[in-house]
Formats: sequence, structure tokens, C-alpha cells
Amino acid sequence: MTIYPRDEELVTKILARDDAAFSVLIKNTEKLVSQIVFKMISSPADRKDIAQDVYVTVFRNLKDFRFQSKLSTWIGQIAYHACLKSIRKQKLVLMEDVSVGDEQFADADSGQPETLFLKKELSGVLRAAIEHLPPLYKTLISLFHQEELSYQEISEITGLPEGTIKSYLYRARRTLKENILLKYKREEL
Amino acid sequence: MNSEHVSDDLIQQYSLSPSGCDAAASEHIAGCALCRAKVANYQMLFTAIGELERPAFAFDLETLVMEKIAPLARPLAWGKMPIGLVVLLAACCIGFICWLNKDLLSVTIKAISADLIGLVVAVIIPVLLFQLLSLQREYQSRMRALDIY
Repeated sequence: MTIYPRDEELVTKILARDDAAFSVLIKNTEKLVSQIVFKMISSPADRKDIAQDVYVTVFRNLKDFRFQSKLSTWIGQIAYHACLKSIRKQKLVLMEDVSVGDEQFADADSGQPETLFLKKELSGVLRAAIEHLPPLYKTLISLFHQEELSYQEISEITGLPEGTIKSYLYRARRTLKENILLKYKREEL
Repeated sequence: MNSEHVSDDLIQQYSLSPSGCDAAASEHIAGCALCRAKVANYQMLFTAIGELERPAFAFDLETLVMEKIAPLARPLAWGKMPIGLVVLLAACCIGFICWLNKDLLSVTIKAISADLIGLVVAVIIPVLLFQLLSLQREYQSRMRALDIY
């Protein structure tokens, strides 16, 4: 078991009722929590409630934290499951098949594909393409490519096996790439 | 060089880490313009995702959370001491007093009528049951708060 000294110090201070330490904890982990909440929840009001609930849950249960993972991973896990609970409560879909059919897109990146991504401003197109992904794919893409978490850390946060995460990431990236190339192709016609 | 194009799965793997890909796939990609182009596409995609602006809450999360946890962070008031603990302490005190005065107690018990004992038991049992139910409710609410799975 790896104990992260900074985490231990921070937790000790918070348990000794040090408000400043809890503020530090929020600042340190807010980006990760916002990534998860933004990718999984679309309603701004729900995001606000969930983000607050995440930290209240953290505060209430910090005494039971056993340093079996990084503190940020534990908080990410709480955020992920809070979002999951909200999705299930609202009977929303966490993941659905959104991939473009192979036959429709078999030759999408043949020819001179390397120039396709450079043609238009990619970030806007990419942001829109990510928005069209199911919540779980969006979350995995963000955690892996933006937060640069390892498969193991993502597995700890989501509770999914590493193999499943790799498979979902593969499908998400492929869908993303295909949708972007398809959009460019359509615009060319 | 193997003339068969590399699967999309391996293209992604190579795009993430060329050294982590198997030798045959790496060799094919090195000599195949189409596969190299696919790798370039994925690498551009990964870079672009990494450079996307991170989402940020439009409200001051820290202030909102600190306001919410302020009542939780206060030390427990005497009035909110766990009732079970108080009952346990009271029972210990009574038990100790009884042990100190056991001779007097035996005389007193003999003097007490069966009806009175029945009445005392009838009061104590509902109180204990109420305590147990309170503990059960408290336990369930804590488990619900911990319901992260």
C-alpha cells in the first residue's frame, strides 16, 4: 500500500478541524471533479448540487479514508459515483453505441488524411464531437487525455476493469476521429 | 514488410506509444504511407484533446462548500451527545451504587411487590427498544451517505 505523505498531512489537518486545509483540498481536486461532473452531467443546476455534495461527502467520510489510493483518486471516485447516481435517478443513458458504421466510413482517412485535421479550427469541431459522445466515453477521454491519469487510476475512479477502460477508450477515440473526418468530408462535398 | 494494413486498435496503440507496439506492426507502419497517415491523425487528435480548455464551474465552489460544512465542523453540543452513551453511563452508575449497597438492595427487593417490578420492566423494555431503533436509523442514514457504489 502506497501512502502519499502530502495526502496524509492534509487529511490529518482537516480531521483536526483546519478549514484552510479543506480549502486546499478543494483547490487541489476541483479540476478533476469538474472534469467528471461536466462530462457526465449536462444540467448546470445538477452540476452545482453534485459538486457541493461531493465535497460534503468527502468531509463526512474523510475519517474513514485508508490511503489505499491517492486522495484525489478517492475524491474522483466519489464524484463519479455521485454523477452515476444522478444519471440513474433521471433514467438517462450512460453509454450507447454512437459509432459510425464501418461501411459508411471505410475510406474516411485514406488519401491525405493528415491534412484533414489541419484544415479548419480543430478545437471547435473536436469540442462538438466530444459533446456528442455518451457520458462515459466523454469522461474516459477527459481523464486519460486531459488529466493524464493512468488506466489504473481511471479504474479506481470508475470501478471498471482496466481492460474494459482500454476497450471503451479505443471505441471512443475511433468514434471521435471518424465523426470529425466525416464532418470534414461532408463540408467538402 | 507485412502487406496487410495494421488494425485500428494497433494504430491507436502505436499513436500513444510507438515503443509499446509489437515489432511487426511497427515495421508495417514505418513502410506504409496510409497507416502512417492514420497514426498522424490519431496523434493530432490526442494533442488537440490535451489542449482543449478544461471545464470550470461558474460558481465559487470553495465558498459554497465551506458554508455547507460549517455546521458539520462544529464540536458536538452536550445536548447532542449520543443518547446511548448517556444511558450506558447511567446504567454503570446505578450498577455501582447497587453493588455498594447490595445488602440494603436485597432487603429492598424482597420488599418490592411483583407488580412494581413488572411496571419497571414494562418501562425499561420500550426505552431500550426505542434506543435500538434510533441506532438502527442512524446507521442506515450514515450508510446512505456513504453510498458511493
